[in-house]
Amino acid sequence: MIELIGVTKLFGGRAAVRDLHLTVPTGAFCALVGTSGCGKSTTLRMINKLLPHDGGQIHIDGQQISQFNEQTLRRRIGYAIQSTGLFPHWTVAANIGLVPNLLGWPKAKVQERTRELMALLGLDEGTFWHKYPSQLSGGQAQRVGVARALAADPDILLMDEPFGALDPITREHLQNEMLRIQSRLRKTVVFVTHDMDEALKLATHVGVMHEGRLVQLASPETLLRQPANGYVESLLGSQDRGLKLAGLKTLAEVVQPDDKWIGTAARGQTVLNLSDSARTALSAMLWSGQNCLPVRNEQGQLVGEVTLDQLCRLSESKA
Amino acid sequence: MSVKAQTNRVLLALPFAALAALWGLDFVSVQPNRIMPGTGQSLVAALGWPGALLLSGGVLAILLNAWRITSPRFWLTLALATLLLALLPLALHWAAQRHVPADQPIARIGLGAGFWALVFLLCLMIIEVLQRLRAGTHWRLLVMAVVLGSLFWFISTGRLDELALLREYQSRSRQFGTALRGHLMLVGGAVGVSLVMGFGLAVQILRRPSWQKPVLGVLSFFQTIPSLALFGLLIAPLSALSAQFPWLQQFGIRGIGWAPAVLALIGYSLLPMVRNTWVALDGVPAGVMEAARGMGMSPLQAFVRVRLPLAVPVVLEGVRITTIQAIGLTAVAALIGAGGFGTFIFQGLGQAANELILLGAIPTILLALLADMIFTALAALTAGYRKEVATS
Ligand SMILES: Nc1ncnc2c1ncn2[C@@H]1O[C@H](COP(=O)(O)OP(=O)(O)OP(=O)(O)O)[C@@H](O)[C@H]1O
Ligand SMILES: [Mg+2]
Repeated sequence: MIELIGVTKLFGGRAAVRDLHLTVPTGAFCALVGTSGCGKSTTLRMINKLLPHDGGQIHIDGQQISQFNEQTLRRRIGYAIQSTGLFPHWTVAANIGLVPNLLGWPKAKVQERTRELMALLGLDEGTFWHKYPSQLSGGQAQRVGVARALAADPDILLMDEPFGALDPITREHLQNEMLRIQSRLRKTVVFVTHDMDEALKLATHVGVMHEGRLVQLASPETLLRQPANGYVESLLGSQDRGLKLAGLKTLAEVVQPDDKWIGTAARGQTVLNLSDSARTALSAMLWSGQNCLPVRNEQGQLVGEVTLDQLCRLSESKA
Repeated sequence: MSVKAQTNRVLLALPFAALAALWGLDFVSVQPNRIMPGTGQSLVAALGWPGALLLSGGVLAILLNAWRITSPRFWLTLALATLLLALLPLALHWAAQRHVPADQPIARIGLGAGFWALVFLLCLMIIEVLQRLRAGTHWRLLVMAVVLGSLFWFISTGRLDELALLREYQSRSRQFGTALRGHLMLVGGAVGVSLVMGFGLAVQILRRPSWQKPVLGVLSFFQTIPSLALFGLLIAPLSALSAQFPWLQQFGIRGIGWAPAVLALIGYSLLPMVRNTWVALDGVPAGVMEAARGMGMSPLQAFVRVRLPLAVPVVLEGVRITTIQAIGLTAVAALIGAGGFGTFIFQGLGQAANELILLGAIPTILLALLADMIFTALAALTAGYRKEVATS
């Protein structure tokens, strides 16, 4: 668990972060969102003591970080940044093994762990083990950056726009991987981004920052339904909030699977998956011109259908 | 590396000039002894018709090859020019055999204007071709190695003993060894000390950016003092010092000699050293350093394992520049009795003995070329991880 209690950071008298209260429970994925210069990176850097804080307290698992030795603390916290910060003169494998090596793991164990992580992030060992960062594409470099952050199996992961400079497709791909990894590893994550969609997609908690303050901290759904003020609303984009909300729901939450469907063949070409979002379902309906589409489960068996009415009621049901 | 087929004017003009120089100027001169002035020999007189035609033919081939030249034919020009340069010692050997009978151990061959012009123009051609081809450093090093290798082979096997230059060397071989040692020690000492001091200063500037202006300002000021003046300026204070503390003289610290020379050389060397080292250390991307610290490296680990190795290629570039500069300046330091190859240059100037001047000047130039080669190769080696990009 990470707790920031009334944290303030001054740069030459100007406050970059002001009286910030933020609690990230263990296993939560907290995204910090906000416009450029609102203090997201500064907040992140204070958590691993890259920047000292000028006021308030920061606790990790109940202990003040001022009590920790800097190096020990940082080796316990994974850190990934937009520029990746990979060491250009080290191979991919050496980069990933950095923290385990700093921690003095035996060589064989470091190698094994590096293999494991490369597999986890979809980096082919034979291709990438001996490559240098300059030989990687942006997406590959980001994967290595994330692998390096995860290397020593830290409980806490700090990520500063780790997918910032990527094209939309690669970015979405990495976001999906991140969801998959997080569902397996359950780290406590603080994730900085200025892309609201990314935050809504990945996070369990979204913290909206504005001029050094935390304006709202809420679950993605609450944020969409009840934005605290006009600033949050403008970040959400008031026009397509409905779509964003639909994007948070999977069809599994809408459709009651019914065994009577199993074995029947689908009419028409468009078939949805239980894991698809309500947003995808809406789009499919718009595209196919039908207001009722069949849905199948992971095994590819039809389990029900979803109607436009159901989808419309989804956004009505206010908490 | 593809080059459009078009006529290269530079590669037309240079061999044309080379041909004119070969046929219009003396190729070598023949002297019966050290004192008597030599008699100039034209190309044909020096080498005979076969040699003269061979040499001219090579240059002519380069000239013709420049017409509507393409990428593969640039390589041909490079090969031809390198080969010609590497064969020049052989031409001198032929000239010596024709003109210096074995029973005249003090007769000698001097290098003529035509010979020097050819060397100079061939070098320009090679530079032009290497630039056009955007050839990597290893090609430059290879050309240098071939030419210098051939030269040293001809010298070491005694095939060029009749050259006036080598006659001068033979009568001074012991002094030559002393001069070489002196030159290397002065350069090595000055570069070594300025590397250590420069590194310290660069690290200070990195940590305290406010130091940058004053430090670089003072060092730039040193650079503006003419070398002769700086050598001279140091004589008085060092004489006074050694008069005050006579035991200093035991270590050779006097108004003249190596002490003021080394001090002045260090003064000149510090600026390029500090500037390159600082730029190198400062140029390491901020993200990389942030990651190093953020991953839990100690400040020392981050410096030694990340910042330093990334800076080394650029630091070596600074060492290269400084060393070449120091090799040249050390030649001047002979004026205040510091030794080195400058001794021959100033003796030769005093005696109006051209070949003696060359005996000092040529090794100085060769040393500079050698230093250039070594440090260029080292820099390329330490930046290996970057080269991988180009080849993949
Ligand atoms: N080292 C520093 N020295 C002085 N001011 C700084 C420093 N780092 C950040 N700031 C200032 O603090 C404020 C917050 O910066 P921060 O980097 O946290 O913004 P951010 O939210 O991460 O923005 P972005 O989305 O552009 O990365 C900015 O006004 C910035 O200019
Ligand atoms: Mg930032």
